[in-house]
Amino acid sequence: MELTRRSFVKSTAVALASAAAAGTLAGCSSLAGTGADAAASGEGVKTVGVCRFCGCGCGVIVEAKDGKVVSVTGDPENGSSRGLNCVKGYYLAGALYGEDRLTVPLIRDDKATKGTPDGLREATWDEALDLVAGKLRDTWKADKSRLAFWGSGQQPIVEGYCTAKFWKAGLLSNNIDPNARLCMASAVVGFMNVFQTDEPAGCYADIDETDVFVTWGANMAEAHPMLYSRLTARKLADSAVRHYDVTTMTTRTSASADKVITFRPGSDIAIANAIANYLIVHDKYDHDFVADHVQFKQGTENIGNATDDGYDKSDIGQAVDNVEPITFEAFAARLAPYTLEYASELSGVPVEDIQELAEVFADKSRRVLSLWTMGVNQHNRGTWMNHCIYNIHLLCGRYALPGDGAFSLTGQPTACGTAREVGTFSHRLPADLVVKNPDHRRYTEAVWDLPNGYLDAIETPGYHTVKMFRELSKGGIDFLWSAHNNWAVSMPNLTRFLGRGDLKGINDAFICVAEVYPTLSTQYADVVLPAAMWVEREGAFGNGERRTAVFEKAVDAPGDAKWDLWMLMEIAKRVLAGEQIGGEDAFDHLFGAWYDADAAAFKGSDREVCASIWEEYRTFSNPDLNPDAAAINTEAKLKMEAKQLAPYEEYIHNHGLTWPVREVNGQWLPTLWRFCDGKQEDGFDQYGIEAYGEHDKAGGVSFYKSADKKPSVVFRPWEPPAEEPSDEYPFWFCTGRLLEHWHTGSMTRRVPELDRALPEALLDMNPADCERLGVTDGDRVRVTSRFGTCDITVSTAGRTRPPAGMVFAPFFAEETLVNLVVQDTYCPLSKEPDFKKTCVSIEKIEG
Amino acid sequence: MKKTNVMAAAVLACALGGAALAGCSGAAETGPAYNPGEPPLMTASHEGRFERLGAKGCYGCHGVNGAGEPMLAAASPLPADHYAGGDTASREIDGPRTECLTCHPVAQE
Repeated sequence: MELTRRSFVKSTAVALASAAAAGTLAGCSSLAGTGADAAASGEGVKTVGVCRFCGCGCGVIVEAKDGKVVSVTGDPENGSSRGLNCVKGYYLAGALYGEDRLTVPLIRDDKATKGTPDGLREATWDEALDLVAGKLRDTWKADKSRLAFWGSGQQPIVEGYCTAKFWKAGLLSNNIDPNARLCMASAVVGFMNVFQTDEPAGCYADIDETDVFVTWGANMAEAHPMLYSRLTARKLADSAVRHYDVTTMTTRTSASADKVITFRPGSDIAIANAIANYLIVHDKYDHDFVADHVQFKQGTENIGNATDDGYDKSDIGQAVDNVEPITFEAFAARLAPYTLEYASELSGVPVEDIQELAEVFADKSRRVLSLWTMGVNQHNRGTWMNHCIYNIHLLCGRYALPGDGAFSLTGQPTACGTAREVGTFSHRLPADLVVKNPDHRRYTEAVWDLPNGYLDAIETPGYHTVKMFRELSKGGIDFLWSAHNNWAVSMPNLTRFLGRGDLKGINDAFICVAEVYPTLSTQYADVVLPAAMWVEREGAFGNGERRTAVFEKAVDAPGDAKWDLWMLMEIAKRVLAGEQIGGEDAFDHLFGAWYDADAAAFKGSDREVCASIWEEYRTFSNPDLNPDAAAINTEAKLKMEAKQLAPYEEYIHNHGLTWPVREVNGQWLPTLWRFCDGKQEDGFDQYGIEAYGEHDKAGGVSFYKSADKKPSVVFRPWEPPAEEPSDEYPFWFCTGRLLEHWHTGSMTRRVPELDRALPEALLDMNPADCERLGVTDGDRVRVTSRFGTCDITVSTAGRTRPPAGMVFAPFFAEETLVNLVVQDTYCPLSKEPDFKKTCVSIEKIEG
Repeated sequence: MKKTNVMAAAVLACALGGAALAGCSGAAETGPAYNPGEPPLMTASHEGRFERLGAKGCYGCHGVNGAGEPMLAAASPLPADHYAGGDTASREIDGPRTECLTCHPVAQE
């Protein structure tokens, strides 16, 4: 089917206008049966916000009364969610008001109490800040390789920006990494390798327009509920729409699938390669698109597994990023062994099912949208599998077109906006810049007003997340500061990192945890800093479709809880006391525009501070705001304005905008379909293509950020998982999220309704396995891998239905702590751990 | 959801008899209180019902009939904004809201 751009724009506009006029996009209901507006009490002050939890980035309206949030409803004017939300979002107010909010700083005097709920005493802010800053400064002065910050894809944008600036420019350290390393790193490296830019080309509206959904390793119904609601709505609206769920086990997402393709764990690359091979062998690829837009490569192979600490520095570990150009014919020859039969043999998927899926991609009369998330990313070959999905889409000319594309779904609310766009990774600088590149360092120096060459001290990337925790567990790091995460529950291989049994663990390091509730991580902290949460201060998130959205401050934080940004400023001023940059006081040079160190206060309201920091940050992608940066941008051909951002107020006024945002006749217009030619006012990338791309290329797209304007199709072979079931460990163990609880449940488990809906983490098992092991629903079992052990209750009626030989458990429950068992083996390219394929034994224990 | 399907759902719900309807009602009067904007949980007796019946099953009790009355008088009614076009007269659940479990999971007690 050929949908012209004009008809597409028209149909989209009509649909949106109709929905808005009819009010069908309004928020959810109260029990009384009223709509969004009526659901709120109507007596409080309403502010615009965005949900605190997943990467969907749903817009919300927050109503506060008498200093308390009293309702959260969907925001129909938010372009990502159009008034929709999920149960977590509607209960956001409850997440603020758990009975045990942290409201005063806490200090641990006796390290022997670590790992217990005891041992923390109340302290003043000055005492806590002096202690943290003193430890950080001492470590920094002694050996700056022994300090670390572990951040988050939940750290709001300006906070992440300032943290990166403090760590990279203030401390000259790259030992900063976010928990986004655990969820999106494989997607990031995939984007950078293929397109040389870290961003999805499409947007959520693709869901409303496609004809065929292919979900790869994605349980959207639980992990991206708002988007799944749109998927099912699309199916409901058109009976011809199809859904193929490519998965290792049946999930709630499978319910909408016309065909569930269940493959053996780790064999997805073989399936993807077989599809690509089929397209070429049967001459069903898009010749024009390939000729205009694609270059072919192959890379280092037989790369083993990053299980041992020495992997990164091994010969193969040093070579994993290498690629070389090859011809189309050579690429086809590499794919040739991947016949349908070979892929079937490896995957267990019938030949005819793989062929049917290949034919879906071959049929150019229908649009196809691939959607994927952690099943692809948390994979010992996660980066490679990202490549393989793009390979298919680029071969058949299905990328960056409305409803026709490949869309990597993001896990966290601002994994894109902060971790990726701001650059809180150990190898990154803001706006896709990397520490290794001298031109990128010069550009950053210009924006941050640093002496020329100042950032050469950080040209080597620091510790990625797993490396950071491995170093902590063997005494290689003395200071850790974490914020917006709960590493003691979410990290893999916790048996090692928490020092269970006779293992050393990370207890010797000085650990500062900024938190809103007591967690398992605070039990290992030397200092706990009580943080303001969500709308208790202003912030902004960047979601999975490049949309930046602001959440306004609605209420004050409880007790003495403080904004993380204030904590950062207070610690930074202490650590940098007496230091200079360019002959000026170092702290004032970096942060003086926003913070009065003597007064211990910001120079303005939350809004003014956020707007001012944003203005500096957006200089990275608006080089005309800084003449020195503009000159470097031109000379080094960095194309920084290709991901242009708007002034701060525009994001509030518009309830979020998708970048690049272009100024046209005094208006700031978002881009929905990146690299797709068309009018900016209709959401296409008009100004990007006019500036850097080419018109009239195949498909009406132009990949102007890619080298030679041609994304890379890289041949990646199937290689086996890091470990496979054996007599000793006969089951695959897969972990993940379920609808009601966000990550480690530190917020959502304090909401009574969410806790009532999902009170316990269960081990989902296949009935045949239960029968063989002599266990039944409700029995307690011990799950053991070569990494560790946990005890859990069995269910055959759980949310997922694993095939025989596989089990699943969610990771939200601290009392179960499934990550004691999970391997910390990571993708050698992205360094993202494989949470999906640990091999385990299961034995019944007395309950 | 087409009107014919809605009627079929209503018939189905009736055919399932008392067991099917158990727990449908009463939550509004005797169950936990919800704050404005908070979607109520399904009661534990609804376990597995959405998986078996889908949104049609929900509509069969909580939607309106041709007279604009709830299918099951004691069931908490779907609010107007859950209907196509925001109009109960459509007798059709708005597309993105047919995944009822997204906002109304089942309470486990």
